[in-house]
Amino acid sequence: MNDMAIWTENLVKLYPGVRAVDGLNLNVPRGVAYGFLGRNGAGKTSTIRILLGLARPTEGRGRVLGFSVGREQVAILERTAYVSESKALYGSLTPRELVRFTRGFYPNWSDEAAAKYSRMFEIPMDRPFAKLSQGNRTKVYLLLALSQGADLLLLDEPATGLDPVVLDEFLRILVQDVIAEGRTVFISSHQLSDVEQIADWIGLIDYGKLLLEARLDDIKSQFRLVTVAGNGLPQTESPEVLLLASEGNFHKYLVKKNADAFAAELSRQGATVAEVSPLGLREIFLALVRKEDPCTSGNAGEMAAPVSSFLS
Amino acid sequence: MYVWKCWRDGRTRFIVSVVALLALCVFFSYMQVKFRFGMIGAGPPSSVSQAWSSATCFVLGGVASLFTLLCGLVLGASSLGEEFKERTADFLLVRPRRRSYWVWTGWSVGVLELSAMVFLAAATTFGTLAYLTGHVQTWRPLATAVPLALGGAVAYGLTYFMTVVARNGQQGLTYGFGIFFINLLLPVAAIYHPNLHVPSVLEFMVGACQWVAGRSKAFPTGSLVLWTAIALAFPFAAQLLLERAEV
Repeated sequence: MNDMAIWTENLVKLYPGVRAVDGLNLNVPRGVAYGFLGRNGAGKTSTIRILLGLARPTEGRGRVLGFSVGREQVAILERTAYVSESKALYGSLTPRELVRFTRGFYPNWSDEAAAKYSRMFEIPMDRPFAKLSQGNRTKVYLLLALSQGADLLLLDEPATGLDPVVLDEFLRILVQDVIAEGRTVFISSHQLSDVEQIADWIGLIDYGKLLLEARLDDIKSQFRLVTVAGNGLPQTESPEVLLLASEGNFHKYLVKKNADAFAAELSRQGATVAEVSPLGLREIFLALVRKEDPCTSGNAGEMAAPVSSFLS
Repeated sequence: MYVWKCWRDGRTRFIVSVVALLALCVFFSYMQVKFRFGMIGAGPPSSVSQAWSSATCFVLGGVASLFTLLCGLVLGASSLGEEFKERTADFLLVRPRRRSYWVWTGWSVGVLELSAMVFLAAATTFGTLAYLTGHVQTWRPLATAVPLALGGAVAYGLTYFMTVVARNGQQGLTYGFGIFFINLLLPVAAIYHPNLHVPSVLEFMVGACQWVAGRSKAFPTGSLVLWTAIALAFPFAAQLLLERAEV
């Protein structure tokens, strides 16, 4: 667990009437860009707040950069930069004063980096924060986080209000100045296309549960949508077949690995395999959170033999 | 850097408070010397001594004490609890410091401001009396800064703590004022119960100033200990609360 940038075990966070985080087991390797994806209210921000010590877990435990969450919080905070979802800072202070305020807390703070990013983002450094646009507020937050020299960047919806040019620049900075130096980026977002540009790993959370944690390359190379026609085909889920949907005789399966073998097995069962197609991150996201096609119709139909029996 | 931020946040209120308090001290010192004792410049030694003693009690023990308490209550409202209302708490509390650091640093800045304010008030009153009476009767008025600062710290700590409880400066100030006035009124309500003594911070400040002015022989040592403990209890309670708080 110490070789992980973030490690959690059975993390649970209950709020009155809400199970915000529900038995979360995260394994974020060091030196990668990890996209933490989920819908609004999925539990992304609650997880980050627990890791930062802003909220206490109801159950479970975690480590950040090898330090215990809750017990060694100052050590975690010394090495971690955080961009919050709210992007709220002191309205009366100018970005220059905010830099002055922040730098004293971090031994690895870089004035050169702060100057570089302020120029790059074209931040008005002498205008009070309260008078800045939403985009410029986000830029100030990013400037402060990037200049800390942190080993881990926890970014909660960091792209709020950024125009496409600045967003592109920011993603480039993350790759060139942070990930390339062996530091870890944990980026929580529902902007899949942004995350897909830089992420090495993907964690997908919904209703506080981790639905998927895998390398993005593995997802792209192995995840397949298998569309078949036939009767009496398997209609329950297994670890390998994450989801299925049926419309009449047509069935769609999201297969994590060995999709060709799975399709061949279905053929032997008498099904006609219409298509085995790769899936993009967006399609997988939608499929897993059961919001849209390709795999969800809400009509699973009659229960038949479990899918796992076809894969074994 | 947090010290700088605390100072920056409260400096306008602090400067306005200092100017107002110094003006009150000068004004009421003048009124005491001119209208109560009818003298400006040198007078008979007994009158001069009385004027110094009376002005110390009235100006510092009365006017400045009450004003310091009010300033303490108001200054405490711009404390750490206000960060929650402004939604900046999650920015501040992820800086690598223990939460106790934020509480005690913020509280110390406020208490230092109040201490500076009351010392300036005592010095101004002293200077005004020396100017109006033509000579320095005693250095003792300067010592009133100690009980005034302690009383101010109690009032400041009260609002500071209530602001952390309410997570809102305005609400914290309202609660602080409410508790403060109850503390002022309780001794009045208890007047019909001779065996019942409700300690009041204003009573302590006045009593200590009277002792400094030579009008009371007994220094209120018990009250000094009690109010020192209460002044320290507020930030300690705020620390306990904040350490357990979720943001």
